[in-house]
Amino acid sequence: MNPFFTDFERRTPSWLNGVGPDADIVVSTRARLARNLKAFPFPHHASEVELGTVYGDLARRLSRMPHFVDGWLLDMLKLTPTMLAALQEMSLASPALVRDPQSRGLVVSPELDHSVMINGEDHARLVSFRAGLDPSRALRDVLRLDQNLEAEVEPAFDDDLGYLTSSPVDVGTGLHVSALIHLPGLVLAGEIDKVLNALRQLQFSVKGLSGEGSTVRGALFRISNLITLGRDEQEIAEDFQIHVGKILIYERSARDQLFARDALGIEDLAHRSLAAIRQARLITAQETFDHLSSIRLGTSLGILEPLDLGLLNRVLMQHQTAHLELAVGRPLAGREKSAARAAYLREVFAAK
Amino acid sequence: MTCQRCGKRDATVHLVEMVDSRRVSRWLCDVCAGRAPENDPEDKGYGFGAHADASGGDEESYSLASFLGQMFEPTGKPPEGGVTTCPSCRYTLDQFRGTNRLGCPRCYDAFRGPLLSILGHLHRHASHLGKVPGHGKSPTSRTGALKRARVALEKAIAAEDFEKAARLRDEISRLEISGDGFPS
Repeated sequence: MNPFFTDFERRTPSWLNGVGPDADIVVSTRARLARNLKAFPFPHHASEVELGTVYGDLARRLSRMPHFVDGWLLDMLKLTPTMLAALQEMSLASPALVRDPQSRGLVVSPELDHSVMINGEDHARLVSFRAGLDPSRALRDVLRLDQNLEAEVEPAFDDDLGYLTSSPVDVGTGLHVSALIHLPGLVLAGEIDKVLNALRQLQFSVKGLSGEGSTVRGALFRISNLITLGRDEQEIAEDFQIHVGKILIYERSARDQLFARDALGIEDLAHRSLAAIRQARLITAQETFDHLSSIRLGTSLGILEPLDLGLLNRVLMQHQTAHLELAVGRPLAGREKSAARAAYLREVFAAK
Repeated sequence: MTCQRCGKRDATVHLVEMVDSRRVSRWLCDVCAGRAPENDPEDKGYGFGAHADASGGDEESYSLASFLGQMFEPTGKPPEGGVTTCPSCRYTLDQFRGTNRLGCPRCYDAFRGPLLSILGHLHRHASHLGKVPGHGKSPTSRTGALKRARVALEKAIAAEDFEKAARLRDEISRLEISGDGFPS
């Protein structure tokens, strides 16, 4: 077990390597289980002593598990605000985990593909990640973690309602499967709202990374199941695979149609974005997300020289503020962020 | 058209839901449809918190909050008589209404009545299917397993998955027999 936050910002999670099913469109898939200990109030309603007891007990047991023996135990209280922000940028920590760091923590596997958040919204949130669209493997991974945990502690469980969670939106299986999906074809074709509304009607949560529809940042969306009760885990994962799979078909067909209709326009878009990323001296996160999106699209349509998807995925994570601040070793104000981001991007894309 | 929920913003989403087997159609704005945050966060660079949504649960909490608004009378009284404070952790139904969270696992017993209708609305089901604690698949109790198998059977029939239905029927008779003293 590594007790410290060492070189985290230089670590690349294995699930960003761009090697997985449909990885050109789906960046990653995550499966997450909400679990609680039977004998304690949920974290938001627990006393300091209770929180401390739960944290100490879970941290000790989890640290010994095979997944985490060579990984990290991160005590939120010992991390700087920048480190906490970086964990969120890596999607390893949720807002509830970093809001009040006392008796909150995270255990992470060496590849950063398994983690458990302790005392966030629930006593334990077990997480597994996979590259590309891979709900069944992500589910299998997280169930294995769950099995290890259940060998150690008794979870709060009700025969009718299943696993009991601090919010009723998670009760039952406690399982949320989500994926980060790149849909520039549907955005450019103006079809995105129609497709996403259809998903919402099927009880999926859909969010733009920031903004919605045509203003969405980098055409990246997170899709997650909303129903956790009354379906078993396999059914939730299969359902997710089926419906997200349909979105991928629409996206590919939108790309082909766009390219058939206006190849020059799409080529211009991709080449301009690559030029901006290689040459800019000041660049905001918003611009970067948008340019990375066009570059990714250009790569998948064969317009640009082949670029490693893993590299594009890594940049998505590393161009964000907290990562930049950790890399330069100090907090950055306003324009400095844009300058540091531009310098980082020039370095990464110089010879590509 | 203005949003039919908040009456303030422009409606952009057409939402069609089945409520008590009736088709209910509403026009909502981005915010009320759970699509846009009330205040669009500025460029904080945390966008790639790729999967943090479901953890934060803003959208999920929103749909819950709006539903809770309908569940409870304006006086804050629960729709059904009964307990308003959890005997185990002293959490109250009013607190639940404010936070969308329960206080402890036993709150689910204390507030079961109102919770069941909320869960039915949120998940379209109010009964667990899926794994139970313990190693592998052994259920905590036979009655729980029976209940789950019966729910699964209903669903399989509704979905016209007769192969699965047949499997479940066998499973149910096996469980019923084992209840008569024959180990399964």
